[in-house]
Amino acid sequence: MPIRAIPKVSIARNGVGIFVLPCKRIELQYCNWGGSSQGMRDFISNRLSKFASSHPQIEFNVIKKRGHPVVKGHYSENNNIKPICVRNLNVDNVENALKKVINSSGRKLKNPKQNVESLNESVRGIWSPFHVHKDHRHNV
Amino acid sequence: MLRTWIQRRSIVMVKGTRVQGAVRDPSEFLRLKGREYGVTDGNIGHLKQYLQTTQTGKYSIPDNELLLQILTHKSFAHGLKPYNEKLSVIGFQLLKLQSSVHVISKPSDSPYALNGKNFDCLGSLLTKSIGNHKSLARFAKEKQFDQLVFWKKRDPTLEDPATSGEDTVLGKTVLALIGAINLTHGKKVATEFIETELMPLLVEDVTR
Amino acid sequence: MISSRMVRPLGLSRRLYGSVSEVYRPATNSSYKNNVYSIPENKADFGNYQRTSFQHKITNEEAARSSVLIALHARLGLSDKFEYSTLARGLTCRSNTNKENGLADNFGLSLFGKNLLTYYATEYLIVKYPRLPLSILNAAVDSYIGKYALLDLGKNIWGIEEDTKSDLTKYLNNEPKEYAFGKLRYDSSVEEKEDGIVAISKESALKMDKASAYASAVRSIIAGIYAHDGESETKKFINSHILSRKLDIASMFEFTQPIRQLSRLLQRENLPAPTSRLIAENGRLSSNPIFIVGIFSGNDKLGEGQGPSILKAKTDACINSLKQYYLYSPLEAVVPSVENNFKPAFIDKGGEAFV
Repeated sequence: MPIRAIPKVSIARNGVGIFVLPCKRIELQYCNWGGSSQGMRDFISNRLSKFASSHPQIEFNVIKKRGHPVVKGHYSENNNIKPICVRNLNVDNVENALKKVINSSGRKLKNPKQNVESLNESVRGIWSPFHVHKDHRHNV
Repeated sequence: MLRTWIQRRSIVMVKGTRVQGAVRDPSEFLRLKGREYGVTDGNIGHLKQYLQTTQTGKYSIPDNELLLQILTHKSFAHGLKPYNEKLSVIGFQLLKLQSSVHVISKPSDSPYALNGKNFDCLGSLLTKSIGNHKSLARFAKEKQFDQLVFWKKRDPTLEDPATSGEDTVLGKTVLALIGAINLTHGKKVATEFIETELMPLLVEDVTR
Repeated sequence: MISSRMVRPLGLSRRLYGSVSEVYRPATNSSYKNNVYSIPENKADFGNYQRTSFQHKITNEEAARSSVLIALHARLGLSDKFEYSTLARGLTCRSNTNKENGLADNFGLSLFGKNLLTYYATEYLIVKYPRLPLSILNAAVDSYIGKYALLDLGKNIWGIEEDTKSDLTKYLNNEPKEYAFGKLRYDSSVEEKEDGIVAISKESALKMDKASAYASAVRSIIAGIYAHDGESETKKFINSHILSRKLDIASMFEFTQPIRQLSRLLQRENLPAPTSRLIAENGRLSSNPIFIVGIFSGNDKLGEGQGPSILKAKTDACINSLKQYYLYSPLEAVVPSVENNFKPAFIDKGGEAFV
């Protein structure tokens, strides 16, 4: 019987080899009437075109809708969405919210259980009680 | 202290008539039509000379063992000797890539061509069958490699070599030759070998 | 006529049941049909082959109006020479809809991209792990460039989206026609979808599943880079996007008879037959004992394994020794397609030792 193969799919390591920005689309939702959208309206009319041209990897959609303004990031991985409410924030804080969305991977925030998480095996190997000197071994 | 341990098994080798289940004498199965397997001039001399004389020795392979490996199919001696299967795999991939590069690089007036390259011809039966085993076997026969290959018929009762998989074996030998040139001289030289030595014959075979 | 109830051994089928055509159905592959291609008088004039269904293509001006497409172009870091229309065409799969519309699709591009990817992945693996058995090599190539790997790349890394909206929805949303050029367009083979029930249509060869559609798009983009930027740029792109992915080849082996396979391997390599020795043990009479067994060829230790019985430990040790051999990787290996400083690659004995 020949050696058989177990089919696998290679795992993506974004950043090894090349980095592709996970954020693919940002929706800027504002209200034309509400006061909470003032900062957002300022951002859209004064800064958005410059900001968008400095981030060509991202598609910017501007949506007019009633209610508080929202910055919504859409990410490549599993089509994740990260919405940030920017009500009553001034124009600088809206820009900061946008930067936050762009720099995020789009994954859910979580507390890592280990200090180091890696796909690679440990270089050092695992300590084995069976490879110490025979006199120091614990025998049952 | 580590004791030297030599394992011995009592194995009976049977000479003469075959006995099922008994281990065969290597001198008996390491031969084909009276030719003995090994790095000898009779086995590899012709291939070596062909590579040395084509394009002033650009494609020559100095390693004699490798030349013998190119000429050995995995069916020979149950894969006990170095065989050409994986060389033929890399050779096949390179030939497939190069034949598609060959067809898309032809000058094109097609409005659907990209940067002058007509990708639309790929996928047609004709372009797909460039480099099939039959034409590769024809190349091997023209260059008289067919008598040099060590292989075992698919079915020993079949008399005609063509029905017992000869074309496939010869085709794989030519692919292994491409693979070996690729691994010893690099892709550029191997591509040149395909373009000058093989491609005219392969294209003629399918467009006839 | 073969009755479906009869159990027939695979190897005997041909001899017992006559000609091949009785046993196997002939292939019905749509691309083999002649009317798909219009072939010029001179068959070797490959530049003038044409797909009969093509009537128009997405132009550069149209494609440049799609913001999704422009963002994707920038995200992938494609060069200025790579035209937007090529990218839009790469996202147009061969389908009934596009055939009826007469739109140029990515079929030829994706075939070429597949050839490029297969060669570069094979070359990389054959040089990096020269002793891999062929079955493992093929599976490893497939895990880099198979359709599921490319689906993951295209969807989760590059962020290509499917065009799932109907024409009516687009009309009601005032969405311009060009917007969808940046999305993947194909005829899905999944027909009905409700509460976990999926019907897969088998009617048309031009319908495809999601993974195949994504894979054809990724392959076409790579072929597009070849067309506009040349082969060395394509190679760089493949290296950085695809061959940089993580694959644990050691976990892909499945040995059926590891002890026999090892002894056969040593026979082929002209090395002394393997012997196993118990190196350490603990709790032999307890409910969970541990044994450590080493495999030796002459005085050389080939590998070590552990297990709850001596036989299991020995089997583990044989598997480890076999993996040590097959996963050999030479230092500073150079692929044949490297532009300068090439050096000959290590060539193994052809693959696995057959049992």
